[in-house]
Amino acid sequence: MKNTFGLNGGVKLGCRRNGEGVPYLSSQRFSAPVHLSKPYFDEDTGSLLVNLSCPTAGLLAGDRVVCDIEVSDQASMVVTTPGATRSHFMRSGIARVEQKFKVKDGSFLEFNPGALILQKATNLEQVTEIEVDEDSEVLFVEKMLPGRIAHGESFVFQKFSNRLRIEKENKIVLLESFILDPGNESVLPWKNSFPTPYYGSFYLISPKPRDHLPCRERIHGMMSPNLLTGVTSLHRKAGWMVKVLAGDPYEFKRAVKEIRKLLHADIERLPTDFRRY
Amino acid sequence: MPETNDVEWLGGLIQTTDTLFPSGGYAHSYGLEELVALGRICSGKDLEEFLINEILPALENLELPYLRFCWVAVENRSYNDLISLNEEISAWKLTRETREAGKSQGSQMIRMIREIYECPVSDEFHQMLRKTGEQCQQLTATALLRNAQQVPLTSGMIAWIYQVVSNFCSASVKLLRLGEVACQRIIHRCLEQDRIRKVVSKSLEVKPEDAGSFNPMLDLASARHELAFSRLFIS
Repeated sequence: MKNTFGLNGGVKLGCRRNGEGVPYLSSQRFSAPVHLSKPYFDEDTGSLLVNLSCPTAGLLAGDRVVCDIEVSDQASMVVTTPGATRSHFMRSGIARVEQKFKVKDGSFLEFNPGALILQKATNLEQVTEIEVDEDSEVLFVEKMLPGRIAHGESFVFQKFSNRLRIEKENKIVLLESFILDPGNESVLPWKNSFPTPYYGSFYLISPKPRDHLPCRERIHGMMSPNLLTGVTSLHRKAGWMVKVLAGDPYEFKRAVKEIRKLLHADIERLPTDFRRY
Repeated sequence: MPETNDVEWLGGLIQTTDTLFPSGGYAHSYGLEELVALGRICSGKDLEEFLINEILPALENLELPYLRFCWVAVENRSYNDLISLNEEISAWKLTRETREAGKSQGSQMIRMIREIYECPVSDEFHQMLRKTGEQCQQLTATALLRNAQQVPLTSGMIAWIYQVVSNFCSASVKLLRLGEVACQRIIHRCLEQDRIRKVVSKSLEVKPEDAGSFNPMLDLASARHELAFSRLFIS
């Protein structure tokens, strides 16, 4: 049965610097189910903070959300969400998220939304393409929960298809693609990692820590009975990837916050406060 | 013996999947060493479950489809497609050690192909790849090799499954102190007819945009292995 109530919208943003070197939104367009907060310039970090909120409180069957962001002219931009993104129960149909990020001319983009929660019977398709110039930097963060764990809901979603492609200087440096279906073995490595597994992944594209990531040992040292962390370098030495698995929400949050801070330090930047009140 | 006409390729396939063939696989555990160190795999039973529940599905949805995509590119002499596929393989090998293992084994394999076989396709691809400064991944080299040997696609896929499973089992002899019989039992169960039929037939349906796999635990283990204090294997 085709769902006819889905929303087809999203956000298209351009970020540049003004004459005083302050980043601003040089272009913006958004439509439901996405709403844009008033951008905030953080003087301490030199970044423009944008919060993307979702008035429908998440993704529903038939929704198609496009997020298209371009950062240029040495601007620095941080994009987040006020909270988790919920992919809701779907009787039929699917929701689709298309993300496209382009970072050029020595600019920086951190895309760090709240966790994606794959709720019961949800069916979500997500495609992300990131293009980065040689002298630009990106920190892209994904966090994922297999359901509303606090309600005892875990791995009862229908399907989640996720494809991430990162190109630096028009050459592919990372391709991560998977289709998770709790009805088959595809979820077992994640499901068997912890009784209630929280998953996070950081992708840092930067020319600065090319051969050695100074915080790597510290991130590995965070391991505990409820937390596993691993850092590795990307193809063509384009940057670094940090994976996190945790069996406890508090350890997960602590680890994610700490890793963010450490990665920013290694690219000689300060993390922007997300201002989630 | 008229039926031998159909299996002339079999000798070459056996030669190049045999452990005597210098593929370099014996030096790698592909993350298994760290999974053992983390206490995630402690016995032959754990290893068998890992191979059946995690590795075979990854082969079905990622490696075997890519072997097929490369095989088709070689068959069509689409060198540019093969170079793109080789790049994608390096990009979806998420950790440095698995990526480097694929490159070193692939480079070794393409060298052996050019030493042993008269293979203008491999020569041409090798020359083109050198210009890009990239190294050949093992999957790409395997597609070139099976093409040179005229091995049918599904037989080449089964050989790939065997090589992957036996590499893990070979590493487990040292890591888990598994005996030869235990290892052979595990390999046998992984290669059971119905299981292999399912893996191969499902993998044949995977489209390029759907090829993929998700194993954060193995990625983590492989990433951590890079900084392990002591280790027996390169990966």
